[in-house]
Amino acid sequence: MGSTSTKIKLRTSDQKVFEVEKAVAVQSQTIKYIYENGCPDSVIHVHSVSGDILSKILDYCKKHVNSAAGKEDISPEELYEWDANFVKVDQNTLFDLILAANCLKIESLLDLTCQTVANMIKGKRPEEIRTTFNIKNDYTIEAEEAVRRENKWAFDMLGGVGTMVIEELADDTMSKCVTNTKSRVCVIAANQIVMMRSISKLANKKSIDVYKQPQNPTTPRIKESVKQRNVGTGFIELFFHFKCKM
Amino acid sequence: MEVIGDLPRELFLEILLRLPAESLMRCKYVCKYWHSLITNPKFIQLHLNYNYNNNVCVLLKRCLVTCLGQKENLLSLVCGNGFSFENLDVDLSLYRKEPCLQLLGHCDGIICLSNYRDYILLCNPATRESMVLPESCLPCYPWIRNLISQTTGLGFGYDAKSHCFKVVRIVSYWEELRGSNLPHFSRAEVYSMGTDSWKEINVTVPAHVRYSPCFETYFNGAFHWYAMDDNGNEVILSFNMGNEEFQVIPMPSFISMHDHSICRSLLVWNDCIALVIYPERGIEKSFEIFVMKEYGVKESWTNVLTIGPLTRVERPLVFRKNDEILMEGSHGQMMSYNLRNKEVKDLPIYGVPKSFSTLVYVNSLVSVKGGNQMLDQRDNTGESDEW
Repeated sequence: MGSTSTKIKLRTSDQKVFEVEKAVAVQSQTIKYIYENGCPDSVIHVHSVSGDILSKILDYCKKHVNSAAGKEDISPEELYEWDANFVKVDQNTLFDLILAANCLKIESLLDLTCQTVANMIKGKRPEEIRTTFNIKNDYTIEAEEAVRRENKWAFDMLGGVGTMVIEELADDTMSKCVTNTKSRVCVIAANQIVMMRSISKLANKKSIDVYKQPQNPTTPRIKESVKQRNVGTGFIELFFHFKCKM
Repeated sequence: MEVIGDLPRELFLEILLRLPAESLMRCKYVCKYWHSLITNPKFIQLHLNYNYNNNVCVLLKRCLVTCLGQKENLLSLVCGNGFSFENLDVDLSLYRKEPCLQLLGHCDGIICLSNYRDYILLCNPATRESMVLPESCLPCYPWIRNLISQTTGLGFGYDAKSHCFKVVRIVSYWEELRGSNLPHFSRAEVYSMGTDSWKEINVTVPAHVRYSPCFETYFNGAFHWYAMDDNGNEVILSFNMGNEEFQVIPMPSFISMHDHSICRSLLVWNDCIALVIYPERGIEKSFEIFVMKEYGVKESWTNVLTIGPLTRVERPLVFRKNDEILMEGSHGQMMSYNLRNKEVKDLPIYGVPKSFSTLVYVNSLVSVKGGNQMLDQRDNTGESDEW
């Protein structure tokens, strides 16, 4: 009998039984250990995982085993996309997956799920994080004031410096940017910062004015819209530094 | 329903570890529990270790020309494949426009910048904490003899024994009237993080630091400079942060000395120091790499490989991931050379030519003022539960 057709039975906390191929089940180091050290015919009891969660986890394991073994024709990018879709679940399920991946010792799944939660936290201000995860703010008003003064930038709107290299400056570029503490917007082309404007002036604009360095020092500075400008190297680096008043 | 709060601490830490230091600074203010976890020195160390294993990137300092025609210094992080980068919000204040601002070194998320005159800055770009070092304690002697003093060497590193960061400064003294190339003598002082002043060290500085592009390197607990000894031989001068002693490391014997059309740069590659020799000028350049297989042993210098000839490349900057080297192109553009497939890639990072300076960097929550190292005096008992 070939080892690829060996099946393992798993029973969950809510008494559901799953029969899976051994290669899929042993993605879990816990199941692997129990299988190799216990009686191979008996059912393995996975008491801390519910049926729904185990079902999802087995989907994950199957996909990864098949792609590694070459049974499925899937490129690394497609697998990455599949993983990204796999974790598009509600918070309850996501945390249940983390707990289960930890208990079943499936390292890649633990890494994926933890990174997903980390990505939900990145770039958010403290109050936004609280809202996302429904966390109670137990700082008193005075304590919060004190910490705000200590690290003001952490509370500024949308912290983070954004940089994008784009082929052409499109009208809706502004909406893609992440912001941070200072109030300038710089457009850099080649080694020149060709434009610096205060963000309050740019708030609702569709096109951005660019000040070009004059060749001849006596000619006045030329103002032209970015769309018409030929940047020469073919792309512009957009460097955003701005804060919104709260 | 506070699902994230139900996670056991070690799983919650797995999530926090994957956040960059900047995000963790914001997370501190979510609630007191998060604050207590993130400010704990054990977590800071765990996070640092995680980043050393997973998130090493390159920090770049370059100059850009503003629309007012002035040059401004900009710090950026080059991540991943080099096609994405992030500009950093480091407050350089008055020194933003400083033409001679140099990136000295990096340790555990802290970087050191200086203009080699009156300004040395330690900063953690992720936490936005920074500190300007106090003035030098080394004397100027104008009233005794006609001596001119100048800071010739600066280094930044970590002393693993006393668990603190140190900055070392070498000041050289010339006798004005003699006008010779080599200084009369040099003295050194050390600043230890956590103290508030410089302390002169009573050692002779065995060689005189000179300029060479992209040479200053921190490696193996020591900081290295290009130098010349009293006989005019070129050497590598190193300062050990732990025992605060200088050592002279000889260059490979097959380098032709005093040939000023050849540049020498020192980089770290594959856990060894590597000397890169290349012509200063020319449209086509070849880069010869010598690796010191046994640290400090002259005979272990081995000519490992030659890159090129490459066109439009000015000089090497830093090795990334052992099989890729970042270089500066001749028109102020960054490029990367892959050692395996010998491919040259243009990266979309520009700056004023010859203003590029790089180092290998990880983000961390380590404080510039020290004091949050894990192995503090009182914590020596090991696994005391302070969480």
